[in-house]
Amino acid sequence: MFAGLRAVALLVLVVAGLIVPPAITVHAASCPDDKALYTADELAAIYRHSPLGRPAPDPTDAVADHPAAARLGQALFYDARLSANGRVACATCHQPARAFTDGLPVAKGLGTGTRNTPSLLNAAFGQWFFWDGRSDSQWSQALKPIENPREAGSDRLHILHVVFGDPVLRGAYQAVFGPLPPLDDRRFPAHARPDPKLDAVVNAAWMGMAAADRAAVDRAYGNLGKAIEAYERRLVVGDSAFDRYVAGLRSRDAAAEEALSPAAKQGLRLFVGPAHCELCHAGPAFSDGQFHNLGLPLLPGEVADAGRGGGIHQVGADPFNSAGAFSDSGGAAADERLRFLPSPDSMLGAFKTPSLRNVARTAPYMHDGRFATLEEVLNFYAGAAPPEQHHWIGQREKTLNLVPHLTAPQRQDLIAFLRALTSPPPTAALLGPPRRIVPESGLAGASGSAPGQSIFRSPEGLFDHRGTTIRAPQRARSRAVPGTVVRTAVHSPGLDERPILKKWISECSPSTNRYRF
Amino acid sequence: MRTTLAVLLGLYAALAAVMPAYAQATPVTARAMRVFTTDHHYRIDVVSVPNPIPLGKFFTLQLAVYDDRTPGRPLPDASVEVSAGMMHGSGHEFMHGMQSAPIVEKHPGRFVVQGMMFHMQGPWTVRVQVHEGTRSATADIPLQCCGG
Repeated sequence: MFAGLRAVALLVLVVAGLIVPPAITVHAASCPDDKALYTADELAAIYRHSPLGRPAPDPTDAVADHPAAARLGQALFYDARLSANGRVACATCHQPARAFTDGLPVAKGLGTGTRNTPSLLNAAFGQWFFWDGRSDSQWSQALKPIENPREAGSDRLHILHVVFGDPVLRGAYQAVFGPLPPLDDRRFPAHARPDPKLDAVVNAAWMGMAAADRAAVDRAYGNLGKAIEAYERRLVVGDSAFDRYVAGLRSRDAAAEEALSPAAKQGLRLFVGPAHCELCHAGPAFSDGQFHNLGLPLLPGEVADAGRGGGIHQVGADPFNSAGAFSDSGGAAADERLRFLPSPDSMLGAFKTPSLRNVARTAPYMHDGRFATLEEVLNFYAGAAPPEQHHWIGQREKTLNLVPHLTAPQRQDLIAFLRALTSPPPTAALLGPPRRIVPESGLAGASGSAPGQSIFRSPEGLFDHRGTTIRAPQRARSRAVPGTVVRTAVHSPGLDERPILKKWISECSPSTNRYRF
Repeated sequence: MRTTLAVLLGLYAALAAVMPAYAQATPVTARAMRVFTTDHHYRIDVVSVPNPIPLGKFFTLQLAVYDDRTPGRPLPDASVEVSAGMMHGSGHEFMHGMQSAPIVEKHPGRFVVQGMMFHMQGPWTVRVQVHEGTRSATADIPLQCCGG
């Protein structure tokens, strides 16, 4: 009787939530899981940051994920001949040993720049490029330092002559993009580029060229940028301690959950919780890809930098932007970003949110490299001193007010977490010039022209979609099966015949006479 | 016993038949939402908005605006301006806006707002200014971001 009453009373208490059923307590104690450290919202936020995944396709670059283009781009990236003095390459500032930065507050090429060199690791996840987003694709970004007087100080004609005069580079270029313009013709000067200084020698040389020749040069120059993008898109690293930890959380792998130190876990909780870091450092790349004015005070002697305000002006006027003639997207969805650009005035002094992946290896910090350490960065965001209102350009974003003051131990926890975002470097083959630019025949993954480019056979020859005629010997056609290398002659309208390209056939369908290279 | 089992099975079958239809009856790209301008002069219906709204990507919003006293009457001379921002608990003030400038097109019976983009997780406020002749009024529409 009493036992029955006791059971009923116990059931009532359990239903009322006053007693936790013993089975649940035992389960929780016997199966420790870091999920219990976080609220549901925090856990959802953590999951949004990992895994990194792959960069989204770039519709503006048809060869963005093309192995042969990447090899060409890799060769160009490390080639100092492209600069005006023969001593500056992309890798001068984007050094592989320094997470593709230079360790300097501001970049130094032929001259000294005004902004910090961003890392190229995982840069392919960006939507805008440069601190001010003045490029809307990775390939159009790659073109600008080449002609910047403070960086490589070169010009597009010089670059193309270097490629044209180097049999290996020239062959690699033509295998991917088809023939170069006939740069040995005197109508293509040694040096020329459009220049804001209208009376500059290079600008006069550029304006002296026929419009069709300038267009041909711009297309070839754009192609070099696309090859460099193909290389840079391979610099993706997403195997940090944090990624291993999140994988452990997802799979309830207690060993993997040890990938983060207790301090780093505390830092992670701050990051996705009360410190509000993830409002801007969002998603797998730890960046929203957008622009924010942090109210950074002007340093002594520093010239006010318009930031995104200037970038908006420039990207709209860039002939190599995603809506331009050299974009492979056909001006489709890619140019939405240009159509809905905000007013430059509204974005004065704003700079792009940098990714925090590998941030421990990319000091110094901020757009002008003003902070030497992560401690200094955290002091700025969460230290005691409020910002002085009259020292910055534009409108400081009030989102910054959400970051609370953090104690010194809390800031150290956050730094421990940030250090856990470091991944191993990319494969060694990507950390220097390529050992071989043009693949040997039959190499897996080698390809002769843009991916998806169809070649159609007709009685007049083989035609690709750009109207270039490709003729192959009958004997080669007859054995044109996947893996075959055929030697072809390429004819382009208005250009001389460019003989002997190697085309590696990756797919063919003799019944429809379609060949994919 | 057999009768009970048959009734239960019948109920299960009926539920199974109804549930998918119920799920399909809720359009994934529309939400029923109605707000009023602060002067209570205009009623604004959110005709369509993606559900969920994609984070960091452009989306389109469709609005219908009515005179709240005569909601059946069209407003041929009305125009709207649309902005959006996040208050982050600050009351009525935006702590930041969008990083895009939407374009509003007027179509019969509705305004199509292209180029909206929410770049941050959390509650957003779409601010609609209605202009009709010399009258202007403002309404706020709360929208939650985002679905990924």
